[in-house]
Amino acid sequence: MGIQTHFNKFHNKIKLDRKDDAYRKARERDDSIKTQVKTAFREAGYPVVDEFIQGSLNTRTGIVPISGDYDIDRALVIDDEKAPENPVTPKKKALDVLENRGFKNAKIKKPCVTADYARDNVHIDFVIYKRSGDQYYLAVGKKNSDEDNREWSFADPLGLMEWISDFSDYYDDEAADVRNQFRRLVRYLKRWRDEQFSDIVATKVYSIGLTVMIKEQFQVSFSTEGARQDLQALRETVGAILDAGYFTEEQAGRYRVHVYLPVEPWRDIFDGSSLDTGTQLYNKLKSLKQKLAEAEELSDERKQCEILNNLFGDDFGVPDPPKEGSNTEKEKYSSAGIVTSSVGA
Amino acid sequence: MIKTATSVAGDCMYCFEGYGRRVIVNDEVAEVWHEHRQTVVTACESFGVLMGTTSVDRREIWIEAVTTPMPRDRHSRFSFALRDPGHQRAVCRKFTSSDGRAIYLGTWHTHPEPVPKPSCIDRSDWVTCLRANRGRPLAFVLVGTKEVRVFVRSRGRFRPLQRRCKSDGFN
Repeated sequence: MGIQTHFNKFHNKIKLDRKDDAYRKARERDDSIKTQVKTAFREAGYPVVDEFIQGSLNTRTGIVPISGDYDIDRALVIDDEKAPENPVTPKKKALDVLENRGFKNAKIKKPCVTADYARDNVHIDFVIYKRSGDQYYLAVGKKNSDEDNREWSFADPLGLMEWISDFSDYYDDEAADVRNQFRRLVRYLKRWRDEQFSDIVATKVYSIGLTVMIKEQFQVSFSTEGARQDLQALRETVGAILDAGYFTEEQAGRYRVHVYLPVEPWRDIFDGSSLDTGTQLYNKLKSLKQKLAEAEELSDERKQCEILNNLFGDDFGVPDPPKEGSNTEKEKYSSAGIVTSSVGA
Repeated sequence: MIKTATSVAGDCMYCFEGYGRRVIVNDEVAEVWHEHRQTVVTACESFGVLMGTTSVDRREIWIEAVTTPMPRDRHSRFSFALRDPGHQRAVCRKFTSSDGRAIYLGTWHTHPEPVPKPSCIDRSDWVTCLRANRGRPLAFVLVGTKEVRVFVRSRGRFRPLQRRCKSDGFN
């Protein structure tokens, strides 16, 4: 059994598919609320002409959340000619629907309207676009944004998802394997982020940012016999990300991260991101690369798994030690340890 | 449970894993916990310190002995205060007799609930224990009426380890 077997098991544990049961409940919630928002839009004179799920569930790079909260990005598209001039108008309409249904924490964010079903651990983002021909415009703006801070902004949500899934540079017979390795790498790095960063910082290391970096710097790795080599692929891809110029050192040892959308509006995904986020991401990626290289050098599978378990958490399993492992050498200490006058309840 | 193999700590009844750590509990200790479960409404909380050895990399710990409430401790159904110096003396004796290998490894106490959860008081007390024993791989045990849970500090939080037993393939 090689290390790849452990990666395969890990991947099976963390991958989230649209067909998964865990996701179905989230989807049912989403369907019921979506119908009401659509009705409200139709009554307001701008019917929904198209809708789709965007994000990782579409690109098949979703992972089972360790927080237990399932996210859905639901895109609703209205026709350009019927769309109100103010992009915040339909967002307020969606907010009304959510508030009438009793969501206390529903709110308008700059790119979307969000709602939490705390009871079911479901978090839905409604993303509203208008469409003119093939061109999409995203409704950008917060509830009280003035004219300067709201706009129908050029966007290409379908183009982005196509770009992520496009492996047409590879021969047909290998494209599927390559694409699947890419998807696994994205899932590994997302779980790594959730494990290694505090909850607050983890939300700022955007999944789409990681996905774009991995896609742009992806180093595919299969053995000459065609066997998957995810450990090597991941180590090389992380190395390429570090060398690709996404990180600029603004002060000694302090980094800012910039990753540009590969489609319209070509904006920096990490626009407004702090030096702290950039620095943490840079340093942790560097440490990740080093640990992956250490694991690659080892021949003891259990030791390799221990390193990977520390990076990716307990879904990366560590096999039991052999029986003679119980004769492990014991640490010798210089003192007995201090018993404090403990209390408990 | 079929006893097929022995570990250093004797037959091991419980093994807990996670966060790069493994905690192995020997039978005598598991029995002490079992006896002290708060299954009777009037039973007080029981508690004590954990003693045992660790691997050189300090990732594996073997809980080989525990202390139980002593005369100068205080306890009620919902709280306790470990004050008797006898606990420290027990730790020092183990340390000496093991040639410096058996040390203080944390605390245990009972909760009158099936699946015990640490209270705020528990967590803040555990922080105090860790501060007094920097660099030591301490674990904290809660003994519920149905389950025993082991917690370790990992990345700023106390996290429960997953229980495994022999029938799950451990040793």
